[in-house]
Amino acid sequence: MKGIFNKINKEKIMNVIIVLIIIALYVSVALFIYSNFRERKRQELANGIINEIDKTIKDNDNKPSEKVVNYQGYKYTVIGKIRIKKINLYQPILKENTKGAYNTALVKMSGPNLNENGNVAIGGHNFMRGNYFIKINKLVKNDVVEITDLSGRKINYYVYEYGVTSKDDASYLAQPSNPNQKIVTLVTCTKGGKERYYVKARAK
Amino acid sequence: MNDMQMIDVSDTVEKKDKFMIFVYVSIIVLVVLGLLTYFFGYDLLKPFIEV
Repeated sequence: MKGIFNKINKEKIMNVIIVLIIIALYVSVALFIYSNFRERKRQELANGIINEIDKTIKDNDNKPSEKVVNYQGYKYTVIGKIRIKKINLYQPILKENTKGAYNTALVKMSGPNLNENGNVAIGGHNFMRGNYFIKINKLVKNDVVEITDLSGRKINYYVYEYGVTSKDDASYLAQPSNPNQKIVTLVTCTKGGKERYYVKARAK
Repeated sequence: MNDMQMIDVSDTVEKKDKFMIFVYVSIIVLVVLGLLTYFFGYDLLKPFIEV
């Protein structure tokens, strides 16, 4: 009899474990789908913003340096777009330095207007999926970073330096000694935000 | 205890069968719901997703 009770108890424990596994499976599937949908929405939003600024680039006579875009209830000030063919990145660059902006696209961190002389820094998250700066560590010397501002001016920048630095070190944001040089610095977090990965590129 | 004594375990077996049916149904529901949501749920759920 004791053996049968033991067997029943073991079965109950097993049943509880199986139920927990099923609940964990449901939660995992829900999280996976939510994360996937979130990424799709981000991408849709970024594409929508790019379409809006493309219209501005084609139509504008005033050549504004920024444009407020209201797309699907999200309102951002857009200053241009970036394309890096090597890592399949094509994103708008936003002026707002806010959490929401970072979740939506790439953000200008510091520096002059796009495609002007000086060092302009562009920051972006590196989510585990999709676009943004997750692959900028694949860029090497002479890879091309293409920046288009709202006046339609497109300039190719060529990578000349990249590396990792402490989050407290902002030397990569410094302006160049040559005031006529056009530099773009791409920045993203690494090691859980403790360090920064940066890529510097300059116009030739 | 008599070695030949019979023990009726039919209730336990029936409960186990029901439990296994519950497990299989849960997994099937998970797969079906998951696939339906993944392929057709985006437009429906889009307003509730924060970027």
